Amino acid sequence: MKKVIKKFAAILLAGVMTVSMAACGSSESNKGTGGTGTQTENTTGTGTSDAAENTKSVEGKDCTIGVAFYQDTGLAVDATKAYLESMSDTLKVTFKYTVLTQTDEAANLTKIQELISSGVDGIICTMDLGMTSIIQECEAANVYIGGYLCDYNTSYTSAFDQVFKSKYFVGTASDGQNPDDVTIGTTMFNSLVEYNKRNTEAPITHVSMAVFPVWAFPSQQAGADQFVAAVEEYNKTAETPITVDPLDEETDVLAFSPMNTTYFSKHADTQAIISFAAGSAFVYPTMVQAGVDKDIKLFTTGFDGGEEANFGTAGTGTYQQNMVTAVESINYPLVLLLNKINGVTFSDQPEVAERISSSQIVINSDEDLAKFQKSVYYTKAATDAIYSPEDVLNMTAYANPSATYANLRDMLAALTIDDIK
Amino acid sequence: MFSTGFLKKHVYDLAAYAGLIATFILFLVFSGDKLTYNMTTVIQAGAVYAVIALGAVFVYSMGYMDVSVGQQVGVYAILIILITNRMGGTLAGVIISFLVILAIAMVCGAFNGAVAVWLKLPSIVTSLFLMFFFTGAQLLLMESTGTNSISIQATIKPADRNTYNLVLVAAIVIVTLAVTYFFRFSKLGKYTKGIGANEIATAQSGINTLKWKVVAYMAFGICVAIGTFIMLMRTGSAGKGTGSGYAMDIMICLILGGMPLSGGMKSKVSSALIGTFTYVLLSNDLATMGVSLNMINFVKAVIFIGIIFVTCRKKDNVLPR
Amino acid sequence: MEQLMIEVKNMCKNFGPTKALHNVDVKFYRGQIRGLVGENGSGKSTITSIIAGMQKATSGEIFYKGEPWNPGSMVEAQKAGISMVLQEANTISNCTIAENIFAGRFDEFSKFGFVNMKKVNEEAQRILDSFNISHIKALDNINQYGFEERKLVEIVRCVSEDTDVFVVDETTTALSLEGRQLLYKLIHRLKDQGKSVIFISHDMDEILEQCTHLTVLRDGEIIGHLDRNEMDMPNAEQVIRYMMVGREIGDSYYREDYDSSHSEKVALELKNVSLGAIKDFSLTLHEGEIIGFGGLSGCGMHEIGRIAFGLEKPEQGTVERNGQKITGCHEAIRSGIGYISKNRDMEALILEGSIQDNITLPSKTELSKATFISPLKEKKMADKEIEAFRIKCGDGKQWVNTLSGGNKQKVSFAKWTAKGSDVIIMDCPTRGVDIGVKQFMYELINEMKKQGKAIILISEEMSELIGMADKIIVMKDFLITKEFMRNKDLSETDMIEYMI
Repeated sequence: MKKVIKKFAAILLAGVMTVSMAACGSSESNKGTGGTGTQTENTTGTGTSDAAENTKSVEGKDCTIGVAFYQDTGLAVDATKAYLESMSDTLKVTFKYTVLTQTDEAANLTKIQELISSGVDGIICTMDLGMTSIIQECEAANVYIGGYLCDYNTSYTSAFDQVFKSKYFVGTASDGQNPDDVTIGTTMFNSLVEYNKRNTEAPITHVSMAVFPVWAFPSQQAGADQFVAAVEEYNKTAETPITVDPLDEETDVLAFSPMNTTYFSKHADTQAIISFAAGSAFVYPTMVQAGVDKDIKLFTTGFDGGEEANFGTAGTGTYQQNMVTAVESINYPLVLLLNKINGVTFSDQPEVAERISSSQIVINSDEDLAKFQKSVYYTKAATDAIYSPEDVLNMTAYANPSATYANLRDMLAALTIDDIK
Repeated sequence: MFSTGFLKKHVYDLAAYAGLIATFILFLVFSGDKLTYNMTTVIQAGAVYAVIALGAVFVYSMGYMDVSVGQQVGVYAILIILITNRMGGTLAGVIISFLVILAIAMVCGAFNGAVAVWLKLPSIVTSLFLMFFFTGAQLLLMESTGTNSISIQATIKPADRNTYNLVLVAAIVIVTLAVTYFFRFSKLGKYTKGIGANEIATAQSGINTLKWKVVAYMAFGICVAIGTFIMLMRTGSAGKGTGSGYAMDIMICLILGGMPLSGGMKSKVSSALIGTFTYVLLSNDLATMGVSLNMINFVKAVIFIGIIFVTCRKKDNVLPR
Repeated sequence: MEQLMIEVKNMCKNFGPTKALHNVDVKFYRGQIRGLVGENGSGKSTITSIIAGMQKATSGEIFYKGEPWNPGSMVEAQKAGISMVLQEANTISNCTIAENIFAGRFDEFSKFGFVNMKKVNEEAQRILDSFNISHIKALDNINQYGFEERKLVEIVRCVSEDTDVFVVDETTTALSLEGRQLLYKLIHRLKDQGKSVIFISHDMDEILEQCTHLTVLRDGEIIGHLDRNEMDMPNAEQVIRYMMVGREIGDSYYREDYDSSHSEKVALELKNVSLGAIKDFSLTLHEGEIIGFGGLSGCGMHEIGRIAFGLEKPEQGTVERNGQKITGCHEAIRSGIGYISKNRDMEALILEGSIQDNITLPSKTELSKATFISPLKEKKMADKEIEAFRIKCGDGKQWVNTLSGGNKQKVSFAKWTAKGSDVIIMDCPTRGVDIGVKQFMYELINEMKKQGKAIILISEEMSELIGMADKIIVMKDFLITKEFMRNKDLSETDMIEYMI
């Protein structure tokens, strides 16, 4: 008998724990929305006052937007969350987060379904995996979806009609450039030339490259080609020509796993690695492991935090260039989602959803780094973002009837390190 | 009449049913105006688990388990897509590809059952082997396609959402009926339960345990193949990670449904259904209740431990062989 | 000297609707060996298992050394001085003897969390030596030893200086004469030290010889207590049996005829079988014949049973029935052979399964029609056997592990009668079974013989062999030492000289 009681006590306990945990969660979110409600009255009150002068702006609805990340922490994710949270009150949006897998469509679909079940009105998704089925879910549930940090190239090339033409897909801001809009090769080349200008006594004359697989980031391959072309052009006139090792399928294409140390025997003479792939996470550790981080420089994408110690003239000086997508680029899908949720649209809104290249903040020198460290990426404060919550609200068609799609694209198009306040 | 004896005898069943009812009530309460949508997501996610878990009943009733099912699902899904696409996305392609994976699944089942007996290994070891084998196969297949996600070039999902749901429900019902028949009214179920309860006594009663282990695993294989197809209907695509985590999910479903991990006479078909829907509803509940999606796994773990604690009969009898 | 050790007052124990104990009052004194006798299911083991902390009483009180006693576990009871040796094997496999002896007591040998295994082993060997069983080595793996030795290890583990109450539950059936002597010596020593021994056995001779007092139970109630004087009365055995069963049983529950004739038709044949120590063994069993095998437990007779049933594959020679070779128990059963294992709970029965499941298990093929097994037919088959065997149970859905030993054995028999097997190999079929069930079994075996069924009866009880078999084969060290034909004048002493 005692045993039975014990067992029932156990069930009860488990039940209570579940409910209390769940209750914790919900009460928190209630608090969140409650807070939003009262606060927005103030902020929208002041915020819309200037807008109200123009025309009749409409107050936005309280809504919930789910953000599906590719991982649950990291510099970029943390910064994005911080930026979104800081805008929550002004935009009257409650944000919910989930993490998708890189490889399992069905699992991602379930995660998206869970977001929809939890009552989101819109979703910002960072991964192009199982998109056609996800769009179908969104259509069924009347939930809008936009992309961020993802060029949706698979869908773009193989399921354009189902995804991009769906009225529930608002468009995406890529991580860097779209394959048809590549400038990163030139950027990399410029950084290299600038380095050589600064270091005339020991210029870099031999470089190698690293990219992610073309199925995931076609723009990187294109960037590499662009870089090689730029170097060739430069060599025609340069006194000290630069040698570029052609891409090697075996070592230079990183399948989302760290670079192999054989890279350095393949490219024995390299003085710098031009990594279009996220080098802080996938190249640098291998350099340290192989003991070449003092001798070889790294020009890369994917600022991850922690590079400061060996950036520019600091430490081993391995990092000579790094770049990161401006967190403000998330406003592209966000604003479009908010428009949809509030039932408005830009007068110049294109028929079919677009993908736009997002601005890369290029960090090229000690000064750049110092500036970057004052940005929202580090301070996590909305005041340090290039666009404040009020700015973003003004980008929407309901709060600012004179706002346009072209304007939105322009505002997000060319953010540089100099835009950081 | 709820005498102590009744409670004691049915404590696991009661716990399982109570779990399902509780999650369902929470589901109704928290879904609000999303109820219809949520129902469909529950059916969609539940159908895959339910079908595989139903097949797993045969294996678990022997006190065995299988950890390779996730990777098997992944490889089968990829194979269906590759074969169908190779055959031009025709209906014939879909049918042939399904038959191919059905055959492979049954062979793997036979392997799981037979090798464990021949080599006198616990069946978890052979299924571990299969898991690694299929993990490798899945990676190789995907590498060969040069992408991380491939889509089927045929329509395998009814365009109409209601028809789709109906198909899923029908699949669950048919598989349930078939499994119930073979588990309750044929030798297969009687023998697998016997093997789980006392393998020696079962063998000494003239049952060729090797043969029936193989049959049980093959029955499981059939359900894995059907489950794979149902999963593929959802997304129409597969990749390197497709199916990962299924083995554990299936185990959790069965345990939540009151299936004793040591197998034996208390094994029930209903465990698979109750467990699956408790599990899926629970996930949905937690999401709709606003539990942070990152907390869900943690909450699930707590509930899982709670259930294990409740249903744990003998310490030495809990873990599968 | 008459000092009270344990007093059980008004104890009841229910298993669902079954009343295992009903208002039981019994007292155990220091310096006594109190026998508990009763048929299977009469509640003997229930009383002791409650005293020893294995289960809880539904109601009632126990006083141990004058204090209320309500142990939560066997460990707690053992720490308080109550030790029990069980009917079934209870050693830990894959461990050494020493580890078994000191299981749960390593603290005594550990320092800073490290166990001094050398000390453990030495101490274990010292204890083994003190029990005069030096042939069991502390460092050996317990798997090397047979059932009997394991039982001895268990006894060694249970009894220590702190033991005040020693419960022996049906242990002697597992022991050879030698082992029994050892146990008898031990319990008498404990008695002389002023401790209390509770002795459960089905062997009436043993009870009458070894116990100082006796308590008889029937159907969960105390029927009476006997002291030494009453036990020494000439008709004591009759009286006790009467008390146990509640009716006259008579002396003759074996076969009364001495007609050892049988059909000439061969039912089972072992041809020049060799396996391990068994060399070139041949046997012919005819329809309607009962061949008994006798010997000490390690003499090879159990192995013969296993070979005949196809459980062990002979290295040489064949087992044949109706001209067909038997290569496994699967074929054996299909050809109509049934086997009642000595190790009932491990091999013969699915304890965690219903009576119906167990009885119908070998007959599923017959019950199955185009893969369909009708639950109705299953129930019918099981119910028929339950009725025929008078298995004491609620219904066929009741789990076998809730049955008493005798009823379990009936289920194990019923599997083969339900299947309609024509050759039955019985290995110690009446082990741990009380008189009532025994009598029933003997009637059944006799009935089977009359029906022309062939029976191999392997037994450690000589009286049983003498009473039942047409031919007795005595074995020693894997060899046949003597064959006796059924004979009125055959006595146990005749047999013993060929066994030892």
